[in-house]
Amino acid sequence: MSSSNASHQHDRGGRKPPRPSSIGQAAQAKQHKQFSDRLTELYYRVVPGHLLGEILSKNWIDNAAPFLFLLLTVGFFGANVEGFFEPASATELVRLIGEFGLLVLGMMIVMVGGGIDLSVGSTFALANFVALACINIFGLPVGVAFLAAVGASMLVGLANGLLVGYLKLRAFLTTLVTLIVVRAIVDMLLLAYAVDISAVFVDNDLWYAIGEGSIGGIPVSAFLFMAVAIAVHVFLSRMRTGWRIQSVGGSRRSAHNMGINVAGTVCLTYVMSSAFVGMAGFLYATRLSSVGADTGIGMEITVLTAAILGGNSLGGGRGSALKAAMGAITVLIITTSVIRMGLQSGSGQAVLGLILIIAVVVDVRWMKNRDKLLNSVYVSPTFFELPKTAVGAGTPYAMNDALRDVRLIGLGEVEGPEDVIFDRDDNLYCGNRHGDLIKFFAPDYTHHEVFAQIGGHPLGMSLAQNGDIYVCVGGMGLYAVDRSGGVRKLTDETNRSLFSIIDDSRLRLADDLDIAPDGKVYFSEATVRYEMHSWPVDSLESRGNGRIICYDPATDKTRTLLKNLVFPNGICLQHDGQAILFAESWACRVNRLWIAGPKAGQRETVIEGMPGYPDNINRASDGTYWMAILGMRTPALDVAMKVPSFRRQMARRVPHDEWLYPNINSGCVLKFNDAGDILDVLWDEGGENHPMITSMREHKGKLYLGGISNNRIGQIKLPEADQNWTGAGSYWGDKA
Amino acid sequence: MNILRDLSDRFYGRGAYSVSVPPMDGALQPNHRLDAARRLYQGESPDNLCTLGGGFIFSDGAQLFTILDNEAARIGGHLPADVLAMCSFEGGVVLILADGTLWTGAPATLRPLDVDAKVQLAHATAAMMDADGSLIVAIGSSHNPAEDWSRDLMQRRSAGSVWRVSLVDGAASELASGLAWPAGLITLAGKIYVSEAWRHRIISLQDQSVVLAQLPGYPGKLSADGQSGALLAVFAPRSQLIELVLREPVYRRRMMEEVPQHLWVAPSYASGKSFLEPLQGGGVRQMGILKPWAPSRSYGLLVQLDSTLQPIASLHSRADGKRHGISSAIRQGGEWLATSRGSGELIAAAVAGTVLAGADPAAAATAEAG
Repeated sequence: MSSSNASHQHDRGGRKPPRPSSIGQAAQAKQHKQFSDRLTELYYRVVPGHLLGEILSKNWIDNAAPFLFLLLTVGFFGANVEGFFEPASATELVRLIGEFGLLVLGMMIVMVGGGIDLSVGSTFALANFVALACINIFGLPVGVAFLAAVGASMLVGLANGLLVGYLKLRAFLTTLVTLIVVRAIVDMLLLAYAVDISAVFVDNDLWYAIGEGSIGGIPVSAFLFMAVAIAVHVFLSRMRTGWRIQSVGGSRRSAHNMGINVAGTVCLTYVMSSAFVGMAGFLYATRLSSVGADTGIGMEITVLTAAILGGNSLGGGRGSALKAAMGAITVLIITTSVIRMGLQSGSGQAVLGLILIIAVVVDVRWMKNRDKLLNSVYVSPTFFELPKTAVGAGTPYAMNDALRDVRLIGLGEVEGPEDVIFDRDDNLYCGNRHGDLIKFFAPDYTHHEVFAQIGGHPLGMSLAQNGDIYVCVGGMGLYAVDRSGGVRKLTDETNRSLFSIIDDSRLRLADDLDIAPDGKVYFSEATVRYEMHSWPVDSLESRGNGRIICYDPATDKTRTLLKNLVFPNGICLQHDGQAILFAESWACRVNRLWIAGPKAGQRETVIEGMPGYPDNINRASDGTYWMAILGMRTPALDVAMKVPSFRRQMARRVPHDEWLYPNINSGCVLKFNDAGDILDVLWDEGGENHPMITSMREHKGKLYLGGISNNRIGQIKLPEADQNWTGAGSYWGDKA
Repeated sequence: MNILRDLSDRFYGRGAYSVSVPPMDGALQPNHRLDAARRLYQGESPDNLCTLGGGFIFSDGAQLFTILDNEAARIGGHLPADVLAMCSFEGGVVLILADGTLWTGAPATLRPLDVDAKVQLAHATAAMMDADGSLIVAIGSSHNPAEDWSRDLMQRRSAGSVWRVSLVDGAASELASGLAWPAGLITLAGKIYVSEAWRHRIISLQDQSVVLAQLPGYPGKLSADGQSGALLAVFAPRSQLIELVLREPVYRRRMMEEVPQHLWVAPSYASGKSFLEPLQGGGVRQMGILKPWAPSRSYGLLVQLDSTLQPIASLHSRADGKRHGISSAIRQGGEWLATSRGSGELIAAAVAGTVLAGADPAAAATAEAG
């Protein structure tokens, strides 16, 4: 067998053999190829290319750009501004951040709700005035002054909220009007009371402590800001109202259709925003005790810049307290440092304007292209060389028509019976793609009923000792269906890996299972990177994305036993109960994992280099095992597996339907023993009745075939098999 | 600048790196008319339909056939090699065989003719009689014989040529070279047109101007359709995956080295016959059904062209059909006859009204006037 050939000896209809070049050249080319293959393999082993896509799929990646910009800002001004990191100036900066951060938090909430609040500057001035008036004129306690300042601001916010939320006015114009009106009110009040305020000297330690004091070197305002920021974070990310605000900002129409009170939610955002503005105004008052007419003028632009720079989307729906904080810190460092660097007055505003433009552009482009980018980089093929194989005459996989005389059960009535199983009364059960468990009644299986509605596509199944059917459900996890059709969840999560970027604690594609004598359930999860219906995409990657997991009903604990398996699929408990056999589909191999005895925990390969992709494994009556081959290897795809760059380009450039797939239109059933010898292979050479076989189950001298994209179940006679053998009996003994 | 453009095109998949394929729309809207057509003959690889006298003749491997009373009738004996190209003149035919010989005369009494050795007749793809009685021959590629067309495509060659051969003394002169697999010839209004398969277009031989471009498949043999139009046999479809393979040199080279030719990711006359053939996502049978729109390496497409060689109607056999790899076609009375290399059949379909419903009447009028 020529080893430079793609190793497929089966060459039906081939008109010409590949042209041999001169032998020396071929040998040289082969060596060269092997060397470059090894380099490619090494590269893909060392470079975790799939992490890029996984990182991009995380929500927190939105924080990357603002965080980077914050680091750059600190680095640049730290190097260029004298005394930037000195305690005195740093404390002063942090004190300002406390005030400013509160304003940005408020703006962020309004933006998340899909609005904008331009009135922050005037409201800030109002709060400042109210606080000073309370203290200086009326001599009220600090607490009352605080409440009065915040309350006055909230009234402005309520006005905004009523106009924007309930009367559905445009947020931009409405808050612009409030900006002007409130500013006018403040100016009038100042005209009347400025002198009274300035004339009084306040003698209140608490007042000054708030404005100028620190706790352990950290200013009071910063403490207040941190407390509010944490509260806002919990509120937005963990609480019902916070989620509603995000929904409204994300899509008003959908939020309304879901029954969310849109007007009230929008109104709430303005009130909350103004409350934070009030706090900031109060802090400002305690710090400066000044009623200057220019208080808060132009503030809305600075606050808006900070909010957007932090990564809060102008379009609504996306934002967080962390983003607000990052934006606030960055902008404050820029504005104060520009002044301290002695640049011309006005240049601070210019720099800010420039940054605002850049931030808006980045925000818009990122929103628009994030999913596109994710789509084009998520599929990350790796180098994967399959062992040589052969199929056809002269191999264990000789073709035949053993499956031609298949009797069809439920033709056109079941859609996607991945697996079939029998209860002790010979009734047949299978899943379908509508998420039901279908029961075909013994003895002739001509009529059926929906036995249980699970909601996800049932895949592999096993019969438990008490007669429950344990079933792996795509996208849902491991479930049990009792004899009356009641569905109960066994597990849908396992332990999370320490260094996995995507959350691998949820079960995405539990595939097949078997139950050990001690009741433990061993099941496979084919891939942690793709959802149920994208399972063939995983073949394009052929990275070890799958796992073997064990669920223990006694403790209700789920543990991952093996990771980084190449699409682990069928699982079967050995006849001696000492080990499980499991198939790795894209790797075309079968492994054994010892679960008891002296070798417990060890893994070994049983069959390698098969010409097709193995699926479910089940026990046969004669002490051997049946295995379904869901599709055949094609030489063109085998070569593509060694050229990951080609597969990556394919994933990027070509639509999904045009991708090169494993040939899952034809398959077969084979029989093997504990030693891994292939004993028998059953084909349907024409591929008409059973284009794709994902499982088979022997029951009382007949073999039943299932297929995940089939609309039928096949039944063939096994004349030489034990006509009384059942799976239930094999696992749990004969019925008492 | 060009390098920058090239790099950006490569990054974004634009320009020369675009794998998009023109849609089958307008006159090329898919139907099942080839699959519905009547079968006249079932053989191995029928090809080279041409009119002869009042009837017609076609080849299957190294034999010639015609149809008499719905029965295939063999004409003449076994030829020394497969027929690559054939054309007829009054009272006789010209045959080019895979062994590089040229035969002429009445089908029963063929005589060989020595042709200038410059013409690689063993690589011939099409032949046509010119008005002056000389023979026009298309040579697909100087590198690959006609049967190896998918290799020539995968090697991205443009080494084809068109020759004028005198049937008197076998003298030859080159009319054009550097063509990307010229596979069909026709004379319309005194001008010679060539279908250039790998560039998916039909060009005028004289000035090499493009008359029909952006075809969704690889155009092959051309023949006259009625008084002024033409029939175009499109022998294989383009697909985005194959376009991608054509732009991925590393994979293409390794595939050609390591995989048997009939299992390549390359266009083909027929597909789906072996489970070792590459399969694409849309080609997975769902609930026992193969969708007609499934991507396929083979397709049946016969296009009716007007006098300006623009498509006006088409007959299809889609992914779920069998009549793929249409290698030649002629008009015979009220029917179109076509040979399918994919199914090994000769089929007959009724000629459609030449004007499509909804087509621009002005354009139709021009077509008729022309």
